[in-house]
Amino acid sequence: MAAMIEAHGLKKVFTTGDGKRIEAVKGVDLAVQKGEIFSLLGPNGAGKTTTINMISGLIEPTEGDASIGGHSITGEPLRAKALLGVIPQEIALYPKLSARQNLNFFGKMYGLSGADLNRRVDEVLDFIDLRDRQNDRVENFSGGMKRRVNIGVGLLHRPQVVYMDEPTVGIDPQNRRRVLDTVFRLRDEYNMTVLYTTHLMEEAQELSDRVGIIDHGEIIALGTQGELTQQVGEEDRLTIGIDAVQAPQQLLDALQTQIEGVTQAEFLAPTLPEGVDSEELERKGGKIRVLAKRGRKALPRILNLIEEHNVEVNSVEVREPDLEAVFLHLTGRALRD
Amino acid sequence: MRKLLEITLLDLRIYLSAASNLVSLTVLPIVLTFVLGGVFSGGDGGQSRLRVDVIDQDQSEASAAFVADLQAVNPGLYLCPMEQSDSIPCELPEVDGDDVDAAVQAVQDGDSNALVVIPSGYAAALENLEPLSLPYYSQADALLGDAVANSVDAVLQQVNGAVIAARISVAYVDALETDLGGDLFADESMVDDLQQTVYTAAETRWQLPSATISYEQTKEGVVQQDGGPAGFSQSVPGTASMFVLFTAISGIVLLLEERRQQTLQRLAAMPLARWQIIGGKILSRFLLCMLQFGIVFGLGLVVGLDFGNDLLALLLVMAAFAVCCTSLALWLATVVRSEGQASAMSTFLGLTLAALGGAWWSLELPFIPQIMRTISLISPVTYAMNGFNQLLYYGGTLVDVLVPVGILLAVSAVFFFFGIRNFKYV
Ligand SMILES: Nc1ncnc2c1ncn2[C@@H]1O[C@H](COP(=O)(O)OP(=O)(O)O)[C@@H](O)[C@H]1O
Ligand SMILES: [Mg+2]
Repeated sequence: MAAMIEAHGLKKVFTTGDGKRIEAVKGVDLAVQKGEIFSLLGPNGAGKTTTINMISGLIEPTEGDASIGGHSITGEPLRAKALLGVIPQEIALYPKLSARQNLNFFGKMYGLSGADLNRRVDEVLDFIDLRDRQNDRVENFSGGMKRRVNIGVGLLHRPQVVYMDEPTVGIDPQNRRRVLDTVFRLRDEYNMTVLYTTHLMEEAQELSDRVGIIDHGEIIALGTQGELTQQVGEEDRLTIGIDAVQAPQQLLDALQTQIEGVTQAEFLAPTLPEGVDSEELERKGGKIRVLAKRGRKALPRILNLIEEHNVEVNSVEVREPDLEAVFLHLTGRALRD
Repeated sequence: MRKLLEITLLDLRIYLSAASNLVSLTVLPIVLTFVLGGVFSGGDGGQSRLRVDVIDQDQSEASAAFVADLQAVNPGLYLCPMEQSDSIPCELPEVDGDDVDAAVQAVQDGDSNALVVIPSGYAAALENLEPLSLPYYSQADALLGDAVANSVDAVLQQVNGAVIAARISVAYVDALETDLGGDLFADESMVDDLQQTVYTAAETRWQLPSATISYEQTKEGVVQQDGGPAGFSQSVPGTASMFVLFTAISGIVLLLEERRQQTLQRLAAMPLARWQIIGGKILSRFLLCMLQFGIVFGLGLVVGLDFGNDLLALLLVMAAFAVCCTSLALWLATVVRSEGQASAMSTFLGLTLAALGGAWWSLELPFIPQIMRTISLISPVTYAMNGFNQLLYYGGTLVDVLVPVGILLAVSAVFFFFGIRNFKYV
């Protein structure tokens, strides 16, 4: 069966006012199957929103095409969009209107009317748990409540495909939990196909059936989480806090050459907010990050070696391969850099 | 179409639910209409006259007749110095050939609308049917027509025609005399009398149609000594036009706001065609503009403003201007990037185009320099005011507003073309 969402060779080049070309997306191929939760994971500026905008028909791709349920977004935009519910990154609501008025209006835009419209609006209000506040103006809602209405609007017409672009940005943990649970409900209760973008490894990890990692406009890895972490091999990631603001280069060299399994060792300088004095900085100390196969087993020898170099260890963290490690492995940068 | 109308309806609802919008839709224009109507209330408000300087270097009966004819053809002309009065001084010496340069300067400065010089030898040239040119100076716009030139033309036609008739009559008498072999008239003075009688008769006959034609011409919005429309006949259409412009241009800010609050993007990701979204926005702006016209002209109705003879034409001018402003706003929305930029520009642009186009005061006021009248042609308000003046002030009908309406609609087509083509959701 054909995939629910497909993209072939999607490219987007922006030309800025001063004539500079920005290649925001450099050829993205995707195939998301029906009933799947697919995450697009990448740091800020990676091209997630631009990709979403292209496959929802908001901006024209410079090259390539995408289809939803087999309908080309550029060729048959109205058919493709009828299957699609978009939940944008920002709150996209009329602040002066009540929750119900917003839902009513957008419902009409999806072609709903009369009793049918009313029923769907009621359903959605129940789903987002805002029935009791339905007649309040959206501008008076809390951030989390606005988020819920924002999600509700995209579900009014019971779409087969839902796009969610970083829906948890800027909300508290409780509401964030709610959003994540909603994603599962969409797949499990309504059998919807969800394309979810995030820069948070934990979210992608928790939600996704499959993940595409995007960086600088390119998908650099794609697969189930197991498939992706296998790319990194058995490498564990050790983060060792030390009480010095600088680590001797010999130590780093020694770690890489003398200990079996270590593939990378680097010093992460301590970072503090501006205006904090150097004394504070000294107290905080820096970190040594080590990538090592069977890192747990190698840990005692690593600590010994550090001690031999007269550096005191404050803390030790060992992480098994995860998406963060995959990203680090592929780009040499942390997701949140 | 239903989705388009729903978008329009929502737009109107949001716009009209904001108190500040209601104020700028009602209170501000009403106050301004009264203020401007009071400040610029003209005396009789009916008669409008154009100052025309005449230098008579011939000082003959024929030249005097020319002046009298010119006055008769178009009573709207205020002839200087023949009509010299206290209210309108014209410091033009009665006879002084050397002063032509000064008089030309006066026209160039916009102190006078036109200058006609009757050169010496005018009477003799007429007598002998010799060609003669009458120097004529004017700053009137080709586009808006030249009422004075038309009047002068009419008089010259009259004079020429009468002269030709008189000459023909004399030739006829000569021919008769030759044929009959004798003098029909006892003495030559009787031939002169005949010539004079025929001339006068011919000239009288000629006057009627010419007078009608040139009077039509004076309806064009040319510089007038009295300053053209005044009082409410100026301030109602003027204020209305300016606020319609404001209402339209404020739509830019709203469009950008919709883009910022992402509702525009949301609409774009819904199963809606481009024409439904943009059309809905255009229609709501257009309707708000018409509502603005309705409010100020409604006030005009209350204060007893004469709406002229052609309500349909009046509605047409309003609609054409509303369409033009809406298209301008749509195009501007594709040019400006930020809301701050947009609101600063809308205030600046609204005020400039309104003042330039004669929304504050009539462009026909004598102290408005000619250069301003030329620059005013870039403002859509100019064409709207021209149309309104034709209808409200000069009592014109549909045909009199076809040119300004046509120009407004043509400009709208251009703005819509680029506005719709360049409109982006993101
Ligand atoms: N309209 C635009 N004009 C120019 N550059 C843009 C535009 N939109 C996005 N970009 C650039 O494209 C890149 C990708 O942006 P975006 O898709 O928003 O990333 P993400 O959503 O992953 O954070 C960024 O470098 C961004 O600055
Ligand atoms: Mg984004």
